Amino acid sequence: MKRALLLLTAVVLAGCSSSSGTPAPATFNLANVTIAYSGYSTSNTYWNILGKAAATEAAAKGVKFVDVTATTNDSGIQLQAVNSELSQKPSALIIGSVDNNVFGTTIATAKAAGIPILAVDTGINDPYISALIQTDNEGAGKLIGQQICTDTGGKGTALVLGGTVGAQSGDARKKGVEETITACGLKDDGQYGNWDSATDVSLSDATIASTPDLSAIFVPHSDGAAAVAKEVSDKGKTATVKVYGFDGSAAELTAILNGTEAASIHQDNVTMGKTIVDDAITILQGGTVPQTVLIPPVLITKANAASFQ
Amino acid sequence: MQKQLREIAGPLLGLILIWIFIFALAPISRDWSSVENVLENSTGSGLFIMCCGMTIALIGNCLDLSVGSIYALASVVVGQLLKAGVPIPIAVLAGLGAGALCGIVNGTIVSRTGIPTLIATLGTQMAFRGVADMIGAGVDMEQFGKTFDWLGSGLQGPLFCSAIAFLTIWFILSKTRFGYQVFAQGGNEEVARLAGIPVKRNIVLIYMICGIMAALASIVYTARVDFAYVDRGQGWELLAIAGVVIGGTSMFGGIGGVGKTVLGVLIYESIFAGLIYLHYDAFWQQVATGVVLILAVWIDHTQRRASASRRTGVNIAKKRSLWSRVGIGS
Repeated sequence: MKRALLLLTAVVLAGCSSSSGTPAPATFNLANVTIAYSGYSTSNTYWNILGKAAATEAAAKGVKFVDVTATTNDSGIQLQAVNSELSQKPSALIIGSVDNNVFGTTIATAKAAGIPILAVDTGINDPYISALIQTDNEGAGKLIGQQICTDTGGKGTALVLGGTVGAQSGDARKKGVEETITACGLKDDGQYGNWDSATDVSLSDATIASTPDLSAIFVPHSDGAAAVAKEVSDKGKTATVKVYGFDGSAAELTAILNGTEAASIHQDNVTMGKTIVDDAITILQGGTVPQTVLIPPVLITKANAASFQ
Repeated sequence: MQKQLREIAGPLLGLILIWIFIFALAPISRDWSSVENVLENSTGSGLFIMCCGMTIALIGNCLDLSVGSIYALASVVVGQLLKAGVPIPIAVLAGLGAGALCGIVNGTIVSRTGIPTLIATLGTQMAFRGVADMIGAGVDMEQFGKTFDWLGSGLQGPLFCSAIAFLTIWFILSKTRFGYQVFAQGGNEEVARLAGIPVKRNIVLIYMICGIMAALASIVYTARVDFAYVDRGQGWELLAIAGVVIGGTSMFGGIGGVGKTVLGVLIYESIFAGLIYLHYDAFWQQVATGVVLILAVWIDHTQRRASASRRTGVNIAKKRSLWSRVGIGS
């Protein structure tokens, strides 16, 4: 019920723009539909859940689902996998991109072949993209930023980590946090941890050692946030340095309930996976879907963390 | 002793200069916690332990690009077992066993098929990560308890594990026949074979040790963060190679030592931390590490060329390159 309400809100928030596919042939049969999907990586829990939700929905709708997600978050490998699959002429292509800037040729090829491309979680900046469903990453960053301001009283320095430079979702999260915390008076120390928890921990350790007034650390992904929360706790700094994360994985929820992590963001990846497949089918049937669906983020704190477990 | 000191003089001087630079420009870092932070990150991330394994691999001319994937695989093996309630010692042994098995697979492929090390371990890098995904993708593995936590938290546990790794590799390289054979076949595999050294067997053993070290590194980091996760160790093979080569172990085999690796990893981590202490972006750390790495390889290459010229009067070392080492080109 909560998910349905969230999605409804999101669709309303998405505005008036919409995308429609070419009219479906008279003999349109779901059994002949193949939806190809390439997510960020199979190694990432968040994406794993999203991919499984998409596959489950495809099976429920009776369409063939081909998952070509690579094991590593390498944009080159993802591009190769997507292009190889494209040569097999799928009915539609769903991309959760590692690097949203590399798909120029892919989009041109898909356009020429009349294959719709949909983006999930991370936007791809091209008008040919039929639909995008993602968390409002910048809005989520602002939400976390407000929590940081509340918890710290706007005092001290915040280490705000990004993912890799240019990654749309990580950049949007970082931007949202940074804009909010600087507005409430916190000093911003921005760095990039390359989505690697060990790098996040090293950056946090070095910043703790060199920044006496450090009061908050934001890590834009779950693995890194839980790792940094544990590190800060081991150093006995939890009372003075608050840790904030994203995705709200099981490890993060435990950390929030233990008090070693202050807050995180819940992303409804199951709804994303399900909806993007539904959208693909609607487009193939000649229907209309919203061009962009931004799912409102939900702040996870100690007060509500148990409900997400 | 004098010879050994001469060999480490360059990296040691480099490390001292880095810290003089940090202390001079970042007064806030003139504190034990700054040094402790570097030691914690060198040992607690498992990088030093992984570098110990890579040291013996590079000396033996056995490049291993699969260590990052072994790091991920060992993490999920140990995580799954601990989650299932298996006693910690058995789970740790199973993790190390997984690393050893991966190493044996690497060694067998390289020694039996003759496939260049670069290609063979690039292939297994992907295969091992696939296996890790099969075991651990989407599975929550966390909260392993205080006893396991000790292996990775703070400085004591990681330092203890790092000391074990260091002493093991030091003992193997300097006190055993196998160690001498590693240097010999790393210097010239064909000559070693003609001298009766069991090169193929040694290749399997080298990769097995390298795999065990990658697994131990992973166990330490898993304990440090108290949860296992499959998406780890990506790109770590290059970090491990960098840490070893910066210390002065040769990329071309036959020369090096685990003492040099201590300095290499400390230089790498000091550059990383130092630039943060000085409030530079992390990008500068990559630039600085890249420059130091190129310098280290260039110095090694120049020394080898000069040494070969002195020995033979012919500049044969020039003909050796990384690519010929892995079987590409002449």
